Order: sequence, then C-alpha cells, then structure tokens
Amino acid sequence: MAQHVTVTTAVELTATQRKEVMQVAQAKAGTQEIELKEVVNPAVIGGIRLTIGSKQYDATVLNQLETLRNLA
Amino acid sequence: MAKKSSFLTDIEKKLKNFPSTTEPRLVGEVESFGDGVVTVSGLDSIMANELVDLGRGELGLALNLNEETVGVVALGDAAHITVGQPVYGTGRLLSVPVSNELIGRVVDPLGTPLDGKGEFSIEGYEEMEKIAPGVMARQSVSEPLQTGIKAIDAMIPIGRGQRELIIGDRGTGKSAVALGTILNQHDQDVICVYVAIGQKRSFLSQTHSLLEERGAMKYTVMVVASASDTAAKQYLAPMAGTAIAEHFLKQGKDVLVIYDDLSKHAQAYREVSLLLRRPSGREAYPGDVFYLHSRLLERACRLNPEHGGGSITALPIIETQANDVSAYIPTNVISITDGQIYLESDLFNAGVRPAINVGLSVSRVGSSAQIKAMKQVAGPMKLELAQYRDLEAFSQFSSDLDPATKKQLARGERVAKILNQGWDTPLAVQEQIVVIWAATRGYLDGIQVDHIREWESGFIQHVHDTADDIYTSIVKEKKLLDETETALKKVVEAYNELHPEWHIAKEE
Repeated sequence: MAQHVTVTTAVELTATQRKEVMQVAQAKAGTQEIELKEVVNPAVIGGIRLTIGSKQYDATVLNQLETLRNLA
Repeated sequence: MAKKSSFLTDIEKKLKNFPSTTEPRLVGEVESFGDGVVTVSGLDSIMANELVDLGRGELGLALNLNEETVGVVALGDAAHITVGQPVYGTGRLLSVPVSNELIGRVVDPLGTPLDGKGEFSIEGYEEMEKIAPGVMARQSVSEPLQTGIKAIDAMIPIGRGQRELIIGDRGTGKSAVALGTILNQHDQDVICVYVAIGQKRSFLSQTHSLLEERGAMKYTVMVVASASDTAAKQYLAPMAGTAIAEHFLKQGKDVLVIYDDLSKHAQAYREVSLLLRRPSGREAYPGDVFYLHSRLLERACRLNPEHGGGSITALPIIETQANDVSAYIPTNVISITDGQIYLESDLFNAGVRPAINVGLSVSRVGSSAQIKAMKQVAGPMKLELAQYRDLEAFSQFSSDLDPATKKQLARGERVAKILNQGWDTPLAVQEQIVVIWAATRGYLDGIQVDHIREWESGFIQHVHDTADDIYTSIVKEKKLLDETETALKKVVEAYNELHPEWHIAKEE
C-alpha cells in the first residue's frame, strides 16, 4: 500500500521542487511507493509542511510564528 | 538607551531557545467531537495516558487506543474543535508540574494556578499514574497523625501512612472532620494536600479563606476540580494531588492528603467511561472503578528510613445516600482503606459533634501509633462509654434506678459529653489527655452537664496557667507518670473548688 504524503505550501510547487519533495518524502517514509497530495494554503505564509502518515515535519512560517508565541 | 538595550537582550535571550531545526511531530486528524470526547485518526504511536495538544492551549488525554482511531478526552471545554483539524501528540505522559512553591497555592489538576498569585517556578514533573511503593520500601505505621479531635484520636487513632475513610450522608460534617485535621497540623510538621473533586466554588472559596485566616495555607496545597470543571478534570484531581504529595514524600516529608470526595470522583470516571463507550457494570460504573481507587489509595505509604522515611496519609471522603454503606462505591472504598470513620445524620441531629458512630467506626492500624499516655486514658474511656450505651437503652424502661446505676449513667453521660467538640477547635494531644483523664476518673461527676463545655475550656487553660509542666511531661515522656497523675489530681481538685457555680446542688 502506498504511503500517503501531504505537502502543504503557500504557493504551488514548481516541477523541480516537486521532484525534490518526492525524494525527501521517499527517504523519510522509507519506501518508494508514495502517493503525494499537494495542498496550497496561503495561510501558512511560506515554507513547507510535510505530513507522512501521522508524522509531521512543519517548516512553515506559520508554525515558526506559533512556536515563537509559545516561547514568550 | 540603557533600558532599551536590556529589553533587546531579553528578547535575544528568549530567541536563543528558538528551535532552528524541524522536529517531526505526531499528528492526527479530528474525526468527530461531542460531549468532550474527541475521536482522532492518525496518532499512530501515541501512548496511553499521553497528553494531546488540541490547539489553542487546550489539552486532551488519550484514553482509548483503538486500531484505527484514538479516543481523546478534552480536559478543557474545547469548544473550538472542528472536524478535520490537526491535533498533536505532546510526548508528555499525564503529569503535573511540582515545586516546593506549591505550598500555599490553589491549582487545578494540571498545575495551573487558580488563585491569581501568578506562576510558580516548576522544579519538575511528577507522573500522575505511578506504581505504589513496593513492600521492601515500606515500614509499618508507628507515628500518630493527630487530628486534634478527641473522639478520633482517642478511639479511632490514625497513624502516618494510614488510609482512613471518612464516610457519611451529606451534611454530617465529613469535610469538617478533614478540615479540622488540617488545622491541627500547624505544629506537626505535616504538609497537607486538600483535593476538592466536584465541589461548589462557593464552598471552595469559603474553605480557602478559612484556611488562610487560620494560617493553615502556610503548609497546605489545594488541588481543585470544581463542579463546573469537566468530568475529565475531576477524574484527574486525586491523581494530581497524590503526585504533588509524592513530590514532598521524596524529600522525606510527612504528607496528609484529603480526597473530598471520592464518590464524585467515581461519578466523574463513570461519565468519562460511558462517553468513551466502555462497557458498564454495576450502577453503570465501569468495571475498573475498584482498581482506580485501589491503585490511588495504595500510594499512601510510610517509607522506611532507607527510602527517605516520609509518609503519605490518605483521608478519602465518601458520601452515602440514606446511610447506605453497602452501595457499590462505599463498600469498595471501605474494603480498600485501613478503617473508616462513620458519621451519622441521626447523631448529628441529636447534637453529637463530630457525629461519629463509634460502633461502626474502626481504625485497623492506628492504635499501634497511639502514644502511650493516650492509650492509658482511652482504655477506661471506651469501657465507660460501652457500659453507658448498654445502660442507657436499659434505663429508658424504668425511672427507678439504684444509686450505683445512676452514678454510672451520670459518669457515662459526662464522658460522652466531653467528646463533643467544635470541628474548628482542634486540641493538642496533651490537652485531650488531661480532659479525658479527668472525665474518666470521675472529676466531672459533680458538674452540671450543661456546664461541661465551659468546664473543659476553662480547665485546659487552667492547667496551662498553673501547671504547664504536666503538659511538658506528657509530651516528653509520651505517657502518664504516677507523679504526673498526682499533680493532675491536685490541679483538677483545686479547679473544681474555684467554680462552685457549676456544681450540682447537694441534696440534703
């Protein structure tokens, strides 16, 4: 069964970016079989969020701002 | 300029902790939400009892781990939750922040201050669910926990590390016994944790201001989940209180924990369990409600010196309906604890304070912790009371009694009377001893029953003023020496002569 991967960005991925994301996702998921779902959501402001199964790597500007708020 | 730079360095300091790398987080998606229960898909590697971040600072507790979904109980009201929103695992098992600064504070079961005195510095996190200390870490109960209540300290003594249930109908003074005990710990080097479960906020604020007024907050922590808090929070409160007590236990301290009350705790757990669709058993309580309470109360202990020598004494409270002690939760907790103090509404209405039913109340381990002097006076007193109860029933049939019986009745009536005590006037053990001694030795036989209260408070003060060495001797020797008794005899005779107005008029 293919692993579900969701990638969320503020703007649409370019072809090269898509290829890079695929490579990273395959490495993180540990399998070649990946079903990539792209979500464009301007609310994340910038950066990228990668969700593999129930594991999430959040490198969006939105998440950084939230982490910053929790620091104070 | 200087000010501005310190502001900037402050910010720089805070930003130093800002994580530059992206750590993977455990994420799940809300499938449904209702009645405080969130069903989440995802969260593959969540642990049972792990805290879940529901967003907006609200936390949940992962209680049901199913194959496809996780049942999470929201701890706050969590009204913002929408289907499809992400929730995150925190990697933190259910725990409460602890610190020595907690003393004097009022916190909720998650350690959030409720008294408006600001944050306390967190020294660490104590797990709420913990395995109780093992057999090799313990020693038997040998030190008394003085409640300051004559009837309890003399007849149903409690030792440090014991679990003594306080049981009775509503309005029989259960909380009063517990709070009186807290008040009496002011010079006993005991830290008190008062856990309120499902209580009215008005009662709680009253309790808090009372403890504050009497200086008892100096050694007390209040853990509060009031009636308006979620069932999940009420369910966590006793565990949080015990975890805080264990923080002090680790420092070798003696701690007293009061759970007020565990019937509401069982009801909160029933609510949570039913909402999680767990199978229900007797009275719709889940099957593991006994295990819930036994594992909680098993954490009361007295550790041996190699393990710090501290203790946790537990005073759970159970509210009965119509004096029915054979209902499900009361029998459970009775069988778990080392004895019970049974309060009765009939006695309460008859003016007995505290309204303890001596026949049904027991303490299974406390008597080994009683000091010798108390044993010396409590023995004759119990006998006197038992005989009085027998005769009292018998004497109702006939008014014509022989003088010996009359005398015994008079003695018993007075002994029973001195056991009456206001809940907020705890007495030191040496004061209790001299009063009980005087009553059982018949020095009150000539005093009118209506004046016994005045006699008592006057006498305690009189001994302080004229023969304070009697008190010091009892405290030091822990028993009544012959010379102390002789001295006491002189003092009580002199005192009785001082107050002829209380004497029964002599018949010619």
